[in-house]
Amino acid sequence: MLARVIGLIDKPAEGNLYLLGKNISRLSRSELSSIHNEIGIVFQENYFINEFDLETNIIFPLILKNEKKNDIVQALRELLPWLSLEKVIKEKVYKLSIAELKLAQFARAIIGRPRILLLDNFFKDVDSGIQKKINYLILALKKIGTTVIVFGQSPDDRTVNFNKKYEIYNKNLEER
Amino acid sequence: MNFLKIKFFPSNIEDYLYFCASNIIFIIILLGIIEKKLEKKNINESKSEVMLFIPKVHDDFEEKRDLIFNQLSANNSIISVNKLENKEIKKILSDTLKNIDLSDEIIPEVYDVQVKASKSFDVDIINNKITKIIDGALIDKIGNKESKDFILFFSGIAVLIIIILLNNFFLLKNYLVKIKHYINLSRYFGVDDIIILRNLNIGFFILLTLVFSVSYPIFKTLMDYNFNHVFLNDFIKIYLLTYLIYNSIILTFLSIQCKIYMKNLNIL
Repeated sequence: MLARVIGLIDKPAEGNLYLLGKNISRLSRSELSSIHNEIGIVFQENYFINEFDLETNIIFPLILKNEKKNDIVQALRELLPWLSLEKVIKEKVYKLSIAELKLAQFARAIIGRPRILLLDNFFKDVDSGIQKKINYLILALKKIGTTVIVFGQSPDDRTVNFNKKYEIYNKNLEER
Repeated sequence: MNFLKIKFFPSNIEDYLYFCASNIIFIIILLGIIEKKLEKKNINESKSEVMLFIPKVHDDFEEKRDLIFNQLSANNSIISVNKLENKEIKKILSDTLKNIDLSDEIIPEVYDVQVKASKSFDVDIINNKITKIIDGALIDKIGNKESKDFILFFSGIAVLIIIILLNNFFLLKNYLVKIKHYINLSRYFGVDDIIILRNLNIGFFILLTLVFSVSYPIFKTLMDYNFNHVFLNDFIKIYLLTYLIYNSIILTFLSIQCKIYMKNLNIL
């Protein structure tokens, strides 16, 4: 739920949410779009368009945002080996395994180089090998200034490094 | 990677095929009705509906009737005169007469007079002449038929437009439901609603242009083959006008439906 609120999918039930210095309840639809532009989200459920192949599913937001074709192809070429998705990139999404879909979601979330990356229950069924790969990518993203927020089950502390950990306790966020 | 398909045609090909096929059929019917009406209008412009009534008199009826015809033949604007059968006259008068049965002897002779519309045709002058020959003989202009055609044409067009709008309403509604994930994900990753709306409009504009380009040869072939029809000179103008109006209506429909749909998808 919190991930959906910070991801600007659902409205907060009460209070104000400030993202990138702006109160989102006072923003127009197009202003919200510009904030959405800065957020990469990996959903808990595998949220894809079945008619498209995996490649299209990863890059279609960039195509709609009129990014240059060469830039999109280049970004994809750099990203895919990290996530071991080259072999299945032309497959339809319904033919892929859950782990592949998770990685594809991750690829889609970071290909636009967001300032905030939200991972909703991402590490639940991911093996340690993939966790390590993801950790490298998260480190790289942090270096370029991306804030990574992970919700849900915490991965092994040895594989993924977090700066801060919070727990929701009695409707409050408490640092652990 | 097909960038154009992703941008403008995000749904299944079947959805677009069904949209095209149904609209081709409607456009052909629409053009058929318009073309038929314009053809009738052109024919009506070259003639006017005029009737001649000659009451049957006992004394020298046939001679006097011939005299009337002589008078009419002297008039340049009259092309021809065709006699109506008694049955037809009774049918025309049935509303007025209700159940009264008229004997054939008292039914006047009625003629359909074909008149050139381009020439001036003064009914009063002719009536003055023919009433002197047979008292009660009358020539009169009747405009009833055209107004009936007009009502029929407009009701036909209105019914067809309603069917077209309903068909496209449900097609577009179904289409938007099918691309729900596409719209949602586009928004979650920062694509502005206006861009989605613009892309969908461009996609359907291309489809409608394709539909009209395909409808034209089909309509022409159908008319040539089945009716040996000669097209009016301004058919292309009518076709382009229909294309513009049709496009504007369908795209406005799409925009409104899409806006409402996106507004209801999620609050933010």
